[in-house]
Amino acid sequence: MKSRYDVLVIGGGPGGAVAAEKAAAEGLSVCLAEKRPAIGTPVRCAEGIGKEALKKFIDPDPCFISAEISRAAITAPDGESMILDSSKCGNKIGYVVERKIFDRELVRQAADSGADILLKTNAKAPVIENGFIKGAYLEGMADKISADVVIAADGVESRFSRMCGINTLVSPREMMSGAQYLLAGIDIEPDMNIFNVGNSVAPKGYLWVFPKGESIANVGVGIQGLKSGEGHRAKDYLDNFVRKKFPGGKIIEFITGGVPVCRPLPETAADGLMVVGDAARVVEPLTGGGIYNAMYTGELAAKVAVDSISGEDYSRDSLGKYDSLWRSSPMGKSLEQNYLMKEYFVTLSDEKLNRLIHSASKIALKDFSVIQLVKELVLRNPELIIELRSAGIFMN
Amino acid sequence: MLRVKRISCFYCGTCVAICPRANLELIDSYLFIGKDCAECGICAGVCPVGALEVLNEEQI
Repeated sequence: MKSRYDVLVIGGGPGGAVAAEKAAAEGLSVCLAEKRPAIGTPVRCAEGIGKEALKKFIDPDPCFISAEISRAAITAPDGESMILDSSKCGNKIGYVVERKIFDRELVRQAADSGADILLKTNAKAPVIENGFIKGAYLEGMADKISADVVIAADGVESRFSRMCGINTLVSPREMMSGAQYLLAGIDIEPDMNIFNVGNSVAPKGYLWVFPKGESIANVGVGIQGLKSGEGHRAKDYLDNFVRKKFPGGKIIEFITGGVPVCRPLPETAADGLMVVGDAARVVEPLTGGGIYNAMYTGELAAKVAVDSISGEDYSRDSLGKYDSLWRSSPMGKSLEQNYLMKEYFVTLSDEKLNRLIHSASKIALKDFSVIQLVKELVLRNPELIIELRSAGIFMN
Repeated sequence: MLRVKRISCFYCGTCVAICPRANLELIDSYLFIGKDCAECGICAGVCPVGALEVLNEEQI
């Protein structure tokens, strides 16, 4: 194992793995440090991802595809559902993946491209020289790695960037507190993701049922951190729901986790440093989906690292291209729009949610996105356009 | 004093990201509590399973 690399990646989730793979594939020497003893576990994810989004980064191998999704249902506080149908957009629209295998495959791709992998290796502190991040002090399989470029992909905790002087703090208002069961032996539609909304089900969040097979699903809930407390935590909401809807279900896995639904960090590049994925807070604020955005920013960071290293310029000016590229990308723009949507939707009462969801029992979406769904809702509820406009959202 | 109930903790790291003083650190499956705790209780509130609690002097 070397002690000096072109690129050091902190974290072995999808963002870090794709960054390591793409940088190594371009001939850079790359080291990826993961603090856990195994890649992909424990999972902190509902495991849903769009079909096209996944295919951009990895072939959909049956070894990590648990279910193919062709429909979604949004269930109102009163129990009525609106079905979102994909017949107008190519039917199979998404996957529920097995993150334990998926993450490992991504890291295997990084290893196959030439990246070195360190497990059970925690980044204790950044190495800082003349204001530049030049590597990290580690605990585990190595004690220090020097690098020209460090990519922080350390997930929701985002401690590494914080130690580098970037404020990654999330307020409890914008941190979703989540709990999820893998529930076996339940009666579900194996091709349909269900989103339950309402203040008694999931205050300022939602409760999901994402199938992972014929009679097995991720059943989980995310509630606003501020709404969480003794006797009304994410686990309490989850237990209430499971008791009512799936009394015979067998819990075969229980996980918890936090999802940042704030705006992205104001700066995701510094001298010698780029921040990607959940660590950069590039999570879709309305759905909490983060896998694609992590892989996308990971790939972009690798590309900018390649250019910066060939030009021997690791300054904020050079690495800042990464920041402006993702912000001006369709992903960056949709993050801002969906943030405003989230801020609007969390204000809605149960009565209003009922009314919106009752406005159609079935919608065939032309493309399976939040914006398309909101456009369909606006058609059926014209008063929405004014409310969205006053929330800063302009539908064109 | 902030205490983590080790058996209840799922080491998910949610508390780490919301600690205003960056006083919490998750290493693998162990949550470290540093010396700079303000006992604000934000982490105890947000924890999905209630694994953190702020104890008063009598409870210590």
